[in-house]
Amino acid sequence: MSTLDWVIMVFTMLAIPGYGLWRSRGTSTVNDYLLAGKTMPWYAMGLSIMATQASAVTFIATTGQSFVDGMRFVQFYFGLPIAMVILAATAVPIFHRSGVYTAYEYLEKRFDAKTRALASVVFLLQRGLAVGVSLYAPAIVMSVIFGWNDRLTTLVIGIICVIYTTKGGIPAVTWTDVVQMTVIFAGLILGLFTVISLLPADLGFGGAVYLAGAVGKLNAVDLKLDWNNRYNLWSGLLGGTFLALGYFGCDQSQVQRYLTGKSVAQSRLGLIFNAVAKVPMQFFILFVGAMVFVFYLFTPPPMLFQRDAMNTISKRPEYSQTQKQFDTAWEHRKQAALALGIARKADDSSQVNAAVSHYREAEKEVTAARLAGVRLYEKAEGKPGFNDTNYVFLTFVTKFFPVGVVGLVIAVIFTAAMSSSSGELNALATVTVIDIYRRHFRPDASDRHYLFASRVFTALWGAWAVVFAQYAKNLGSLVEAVNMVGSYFYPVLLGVFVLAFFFRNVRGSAAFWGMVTGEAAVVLCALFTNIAFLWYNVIGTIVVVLSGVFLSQFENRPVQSPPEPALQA
Amino acid sequence: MRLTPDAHDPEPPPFLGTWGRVYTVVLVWLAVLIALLYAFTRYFA
Repeated sequence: MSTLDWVIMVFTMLAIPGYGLWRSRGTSTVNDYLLAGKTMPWYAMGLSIMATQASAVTFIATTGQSFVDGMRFVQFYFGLPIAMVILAATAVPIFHRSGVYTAYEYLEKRFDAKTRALASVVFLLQRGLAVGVSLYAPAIVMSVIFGWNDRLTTLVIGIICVIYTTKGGIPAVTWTDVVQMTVIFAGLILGLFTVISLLPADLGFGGAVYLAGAVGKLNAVDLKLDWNNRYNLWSGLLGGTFLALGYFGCDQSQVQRYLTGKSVAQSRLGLIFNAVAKVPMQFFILFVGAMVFVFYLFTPPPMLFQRDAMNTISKRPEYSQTQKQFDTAWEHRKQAALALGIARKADDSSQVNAAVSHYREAEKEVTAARLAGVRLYEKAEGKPGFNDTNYVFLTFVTKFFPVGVVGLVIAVIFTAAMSSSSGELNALATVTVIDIYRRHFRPDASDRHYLFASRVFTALWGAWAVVFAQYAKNLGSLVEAVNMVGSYFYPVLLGVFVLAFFFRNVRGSAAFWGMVTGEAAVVLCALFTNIAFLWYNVIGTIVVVLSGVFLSQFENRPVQSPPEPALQA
Repeated sequence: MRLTPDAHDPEPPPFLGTWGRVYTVVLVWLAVLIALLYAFTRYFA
């Protein structure tokens, strides 16, 4: 990276947390520290919700995914607006009127202490393991592309993140998120314009979109219902709704964002903002990836985007033959793409159809040649499952973006890592203090004591995240397993909140055992079926609800009254 | 540090008059987005 890139990157990474800390000055109570004194306007909450969800991987991996697999991943987000509407109408007023710091605190008011404790522990386990990965993921990609030390990178971004989160609490986190999302949007727009400006002059934007579509990269919507297909309209709408309900309605790292609202209306608007903006934003990110694909139709890409992997296979005797096969296939595809562009301009349908057919055949040839390179690497390493999707976009950025823009894009990646991690740290500390420490160890201490405890637990969770990230590389597949297992918990949390909000006759023990039964159902699905993971959210939630309702028939304890008035849309 | 539950908050949305209308517009927006993305997929496929 050039000096200018370094200056822009370092300035962006320090100035944004500095602004957040400045906005958090005057934080003197637990209410200020954990809920920003309930003063946040809708746009700050809306951007903070978005920033907490959008990790560095969102920008690194999503563009790469579009490059490899097309835009069908956008369907994953179709359920989000529906979930936002449901939460705005139900969870937001209930949580606000209950006067709670955490979503799980409400569960004790509605059910009992053990249900609250189980939900809190599930959250701490899931989020506590994931928070280190949020810091580690961008560092490992940077280490491969720039040769930076991944442990030092993790340490630097981790320390910045822990300092501003511990010092400023949720006001610092939220206002930092606001600026971070603004920079991220600016970086994305700049990125798209840069990609388009790098395309061949005679191709034009319309031609680029046309070529991307011709090889199926613009496959945004798939109407076919297939239970084993991860991304289609139906899994996105139904599974995506349940997943988003679980994440935004039951995960404290998100619930805490909209608990900071100055009113129910402001919190609702924060969610509505996400409902409106999220799908277009994801479409935009995926579209950037599709345009990178078109760029590489005319500029030779590396056979593998991971530099270490290329170094490894280049030492193999089969390498020169494989590379030659890839170069030939790429040249065929380039000629086919040029021919398709000419046929399109001629506006002759038979000529276009023939060119499209030829172009698709050439694309298959490139895919097969690249696969040969992948197999060569897997053979050299002795392990299957190589995937360089995460390296596509940053390899492109570092090689072709102008000086200055590279620094901004790298800063965007790191600020995204910090924004998601800071939200998670803040939520972990809140649940630890409110649901565990105050509830079970020191119920009657002073506000000053809990403020101090909140800062201590934020720092401790931050230290845990940084240390975990330091060793994440050695954990290998465990990191992947942790992420996967983490996604299995949302249906259980969602199920118990559905019972709490909508089934007034269900009591504490029934809800508790309903959670246990639902988790067992999800684990059985994962172990013994091929059902795509998005459907676990639907299955797990339904099992929790049905079990809870069924088991409540055998409980004799009186039902605790819900602490909130009837719902109003 | 105990929080006081918020009073019933009847604050209407700043536009469209009622929350029900806001939610309807969001769902219509989603339907329009999906329709546009489907048309986009079909057109360029």
